[in-house]
Amino acid sequence: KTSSSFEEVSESSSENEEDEQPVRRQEGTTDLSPEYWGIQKLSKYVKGGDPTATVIALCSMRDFNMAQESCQLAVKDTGCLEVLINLLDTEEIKCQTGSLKILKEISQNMLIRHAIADLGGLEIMVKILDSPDKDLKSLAAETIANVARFKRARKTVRQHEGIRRLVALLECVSVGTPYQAEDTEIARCGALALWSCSKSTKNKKAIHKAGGIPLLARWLKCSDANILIPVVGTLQECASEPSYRLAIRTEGMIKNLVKNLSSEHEELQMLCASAIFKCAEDEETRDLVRQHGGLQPLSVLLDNSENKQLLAAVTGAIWKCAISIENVSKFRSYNTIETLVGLLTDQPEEVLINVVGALGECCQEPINRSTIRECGGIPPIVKLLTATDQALLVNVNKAVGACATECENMTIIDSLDGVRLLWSLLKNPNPDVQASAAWALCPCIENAKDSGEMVRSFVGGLELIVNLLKSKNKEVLTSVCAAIANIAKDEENLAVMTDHGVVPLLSKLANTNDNKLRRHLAEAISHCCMWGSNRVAFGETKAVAPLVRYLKSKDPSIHRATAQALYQLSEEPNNCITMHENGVVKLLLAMVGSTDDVLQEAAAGCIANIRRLALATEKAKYG
Amino acid sequence: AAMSRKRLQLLVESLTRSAKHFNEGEVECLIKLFDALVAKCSSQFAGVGFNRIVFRDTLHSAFGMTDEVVLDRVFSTFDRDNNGCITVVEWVEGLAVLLRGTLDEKIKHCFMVYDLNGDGYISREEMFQMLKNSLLKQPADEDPDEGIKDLVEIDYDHDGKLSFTDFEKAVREENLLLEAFGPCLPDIK
Repeated sequence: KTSSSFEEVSESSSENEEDEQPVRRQEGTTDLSPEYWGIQKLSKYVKGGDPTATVIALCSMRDFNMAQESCQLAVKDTGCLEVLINLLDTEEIKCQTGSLKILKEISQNMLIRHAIADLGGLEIMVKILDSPDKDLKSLAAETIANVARFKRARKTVRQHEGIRRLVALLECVSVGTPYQAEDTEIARCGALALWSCSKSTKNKKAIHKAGGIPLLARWLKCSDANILIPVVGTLQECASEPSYRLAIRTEGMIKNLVKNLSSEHEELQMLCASAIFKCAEDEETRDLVRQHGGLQPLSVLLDNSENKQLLAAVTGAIWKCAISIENVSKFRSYNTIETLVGLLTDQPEEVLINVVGALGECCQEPINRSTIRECGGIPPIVKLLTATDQALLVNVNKAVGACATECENMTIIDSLDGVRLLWSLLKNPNPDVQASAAWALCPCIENAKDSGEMVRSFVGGLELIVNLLKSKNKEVLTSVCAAIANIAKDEENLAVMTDHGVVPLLSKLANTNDNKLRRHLAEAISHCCMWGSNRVAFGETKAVAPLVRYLKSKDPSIHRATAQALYQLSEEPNNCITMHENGVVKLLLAMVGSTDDVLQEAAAGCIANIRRLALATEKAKYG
Repeated sequence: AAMSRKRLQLLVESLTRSAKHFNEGEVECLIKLFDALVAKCSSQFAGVGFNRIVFRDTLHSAFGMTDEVVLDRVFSTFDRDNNGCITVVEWVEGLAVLLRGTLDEKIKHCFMVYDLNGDGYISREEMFQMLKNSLLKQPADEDPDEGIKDLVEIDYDHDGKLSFTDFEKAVREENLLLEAFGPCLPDIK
């Protein structure tokens, strides 16, 4: 299970992102820019004139290039910023409008927006959202969108009931009236502000509470890219919340998201793909994407490899959609696998994580494992085993493991030193990396030529893996047991592991209730019985009684492994006694009639051993 | 003198067409208001219309417009035949622009108001005249006229006067400049 990297990717656009820190440049020079003097002169009239003069001065101020940093800072340094904010607090609509037109521009500057927030500008702008003047509302919303690019600002907006008012801006008027264009503009500005604000988790919830989702859904149906972009931007930002994913699915939004994958606007394509990426965590959504014909446009978008943000979103969407095997078949028909293999080199990490994830999922269909080999995909994947990013490593391990189930692939992996690289990942501090490496090792050991010798050639390798049985992480333990079960099939290696204390370490784990661990632990025990006095040792370290209890579970996959382990253990008389005392016979009898041949045989064999011992004991007693 | 019903109806229809922005019900109300104002005027114009004083009072109480210079100018824009008397036609058509004019109509209206001498240009002297009360007293060492010069300089910096085309272009680029020289349209509130 590797959902960890999705969490990391989605959270990177939410609270956990490095919040911006405004840093003032060195105030070494006393050289004030020419803009400084011009703006200072104007701010005098803004401060000291009546509304008529103020409006003229404000309009003149916009003749300066407010996108330029020197102008922006001049507004702040001349004290004009305070004046502009004070103007917002008046009831003079023209003055408020003129002021907001400037604030909207200069709030693109990080220092300025922090200053605006410090001066209490946000609260006033939120109040202005109640104004009947449509231009004023739009300007206020757009300015809020710029200022709310840092955490504290977003919190302020929420604390002053800003979210509710912004959502209200989305209430659209019926299509076809002469006010449609105006109201669309208001909604666009509202959506921009909500997009900025939605980066905070509490705001995502507030938007939901204020009834934002059905409104966003309605706007999603229109075809104007100008409003679609902030609407989808908001939705994909919020899609990290399960409540949003549910709503996106149930309000029929997947259809529109898929439709807009074919938009001409790359930003819109990217946002739709990103939304699908996040929502495809859920199986129903994956089915909906397929049913609405979304898989093909996603595949087509892979051809745009220049736009890395887009590529990351698209590969992410493909990865998650490929979790459903029906989608894998579709992707195969679009030659997606070949394209993905082509993206294994020269791509930024955020793209690679998703590409490898996708390929790993595509291996659910065995034929794709050959396809990957045929287009030369194995070497680049193996090379990625040397990466440092943990999310990437998890996906690479999974992909390598999936490929290794095919012998021809295994040959290539081995020749590129892939197994040794996997083994050294067992030393990685991240438990997800360790576990995924161990899982991947299982098919490697099974399918490699001379695997026993190969394993022995890793210096300190057996000691390393046995020691991982001391981990506190369930997934690590489970995967390591699975690997040990495989390693133990080679007698020499089993001897070495025994020397490293594998038996007591396995026994210590026996008292678990986790079914997956139980199964692989039982497998490991049954294989480890095949050396020296390990059967006795398992008995002495109290592994037997817990194993009997496993038979009471309802999970059939446990029964087979446990019966095999018990059968092996029953070769040792003391273990038979323990098992008998724990009521194993009745449990095993029920399984003798199973349709699973292996289970049947193991159960019968175990009972036979117990019987034989009982008979021998009786004979000894009574001559 | 009260009009006959038929004549009233014809007048309503014709005004609704020419004023463009009011419906018949609204036009009828405006006509009633007009009659009331004429009555106030003590038959100076024999019931045909009302004068400047009544006009200014009305605009002041209805729209809160206080600037005398501006009110005078607005009167002049209404009083198209320049006879000092606002007839019912001038009244309804003038209000149509004031209350519901399109941007084009408003631009024309405002330009007419600001063009104090009606010569087709807003000169710098006219701008000074209109803005002189807009600036609060500057600190003692500054000439108040300097302030106005600065503002005017900043805004329109070519041949010292503003033609209609100049004004229209500026307002189209920046709507806020429509009433640049003083409020001459009613406030939303």
